[in-house]
Amino acid sequence: MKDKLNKRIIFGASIIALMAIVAVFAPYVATQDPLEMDLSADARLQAPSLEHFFGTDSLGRDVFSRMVYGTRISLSVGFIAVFISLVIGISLGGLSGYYGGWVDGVIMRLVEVMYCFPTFFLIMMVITFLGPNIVNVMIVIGLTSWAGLCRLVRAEFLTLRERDFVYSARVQGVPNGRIIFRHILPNAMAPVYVSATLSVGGAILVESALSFLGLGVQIPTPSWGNILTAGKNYIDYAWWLTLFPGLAILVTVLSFNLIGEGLREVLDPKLRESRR
Amino acid sequence: MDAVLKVENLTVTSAKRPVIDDVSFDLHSGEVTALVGESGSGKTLSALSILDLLPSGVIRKTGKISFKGENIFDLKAEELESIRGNDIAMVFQEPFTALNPVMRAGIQISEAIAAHKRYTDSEVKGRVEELLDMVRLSSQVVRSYPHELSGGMRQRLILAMALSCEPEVLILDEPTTALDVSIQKEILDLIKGIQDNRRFAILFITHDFSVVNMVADKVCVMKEGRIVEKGLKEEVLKNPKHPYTRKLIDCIPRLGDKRKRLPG
Repeated sequence: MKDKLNKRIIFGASIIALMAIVAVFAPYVATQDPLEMDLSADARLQAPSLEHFFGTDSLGRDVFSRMVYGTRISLSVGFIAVFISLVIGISLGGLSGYYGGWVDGVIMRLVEVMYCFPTFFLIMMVITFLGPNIVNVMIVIGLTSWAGLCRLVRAEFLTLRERDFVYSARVQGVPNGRIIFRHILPNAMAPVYVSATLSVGGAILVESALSFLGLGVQIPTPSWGNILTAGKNYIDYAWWLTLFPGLAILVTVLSFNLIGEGLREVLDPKLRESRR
Repeated sequence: MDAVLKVENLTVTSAKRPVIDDVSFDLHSGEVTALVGESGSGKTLSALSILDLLPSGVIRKTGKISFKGENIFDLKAEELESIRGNDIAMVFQEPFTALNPVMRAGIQISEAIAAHKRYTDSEVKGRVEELLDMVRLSSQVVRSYPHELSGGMRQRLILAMALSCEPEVLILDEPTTALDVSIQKEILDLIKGIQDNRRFAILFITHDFSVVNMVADKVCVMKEGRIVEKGLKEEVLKNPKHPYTRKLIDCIPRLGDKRKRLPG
């Protein structure tokens, strides 16, 4: 394994680790109160300086501090939303693949329905009804993003359930629940890890987009998406308001994708040369 | 003596073609019955029928399999679960795929024991050691993953798992085919030795008459889903009636066969 922990994983993981540290210790990393406004003319829309690393916005707030707190939102939305979709995707995919028959039929039709909806539109609609706040955003992203994972897990289960060791467990009279969770699931996890890592990046993007449209995290709570929105009117002369949050989103999503790609390379036997 | 397990007129079809055609045989305690035939002759399907675990697409048409007087096909799903692995155990052909690659050996073996709740949690550990001792494996293997064990060790482990609930019928589906000849002999001797103590019935599936010669008491020869010849081993080996049986017997490599000796 050691030689296979490739550069992509190391690079991506270090950036995410750094982000996680920033998120956890936000109050110590932030140089100023992210909510404190200063409406005096010379405090607003200041260019980046040593006092304000990323400048200030139209209400005189420190953009760096706002982004530090925004990291918390983005990462927790990413992880919690993916966790929700993992739980749903694995359970439904597992049931579907293991039992087959009508169970499989019903679940797969449900997946197809999920695929048919324009996901982003669905998310926007649900958020409009439930009210935009961070918890709703996490739940809704989680509830709408499990379909791909479900298919993936089902496919793995379909091949694994015909394997000898599963047969042999059945012959021994091991109960179905134990066969699913102890015998099949651990062997089906490799592609799930890859897909989950990639989805974290996706979820962060969706959150940013929702916040950008005003349907996600509500002002004054800072998130990368709504810092971007606040900056879009000043993009002609206050470039720092859009550049830094945009970069943060880019780098984070890219890091998760790098980790995902790296994991795929390590875990997928088709992509790696025979080690024997 | 009464048979533990009776298979009567079993017929199984796949895509409307019979793959097992009117097969009957009995298993008796303390005896090894060998089911011999080439690949695709229906040996494994006959065995899976006994556990009512036929693959999807294969349909049982008629017949009866009675275990201690009860027809297995009349049992409810839960009753079947309690028989599988408990009263009737099975060992598969490939020791390399029959173990879960991501589960430590000790957990797999205790799982087999725990599945039927014959032992309390505290007894399981002792039972694991007893079983490993029975198949002559060191108790250190409990912490190994399957890929760390050799083929012979794995097959012993699988055998231990099959024996964990003291079954009355043990089905061995080509248990030694994937092993080399010397390990094969070891495993066969081990199986015979354990059976001498425990007196369970063995259904031994193989294509190899030299293995039959080593272990079997009775022989059923299968061809294209039918049993073409059955009888005591000595009779069948000495005086095969069906030409197919004769052909199979001729496949045994014999010691002293000059042509096949390596030069030097």
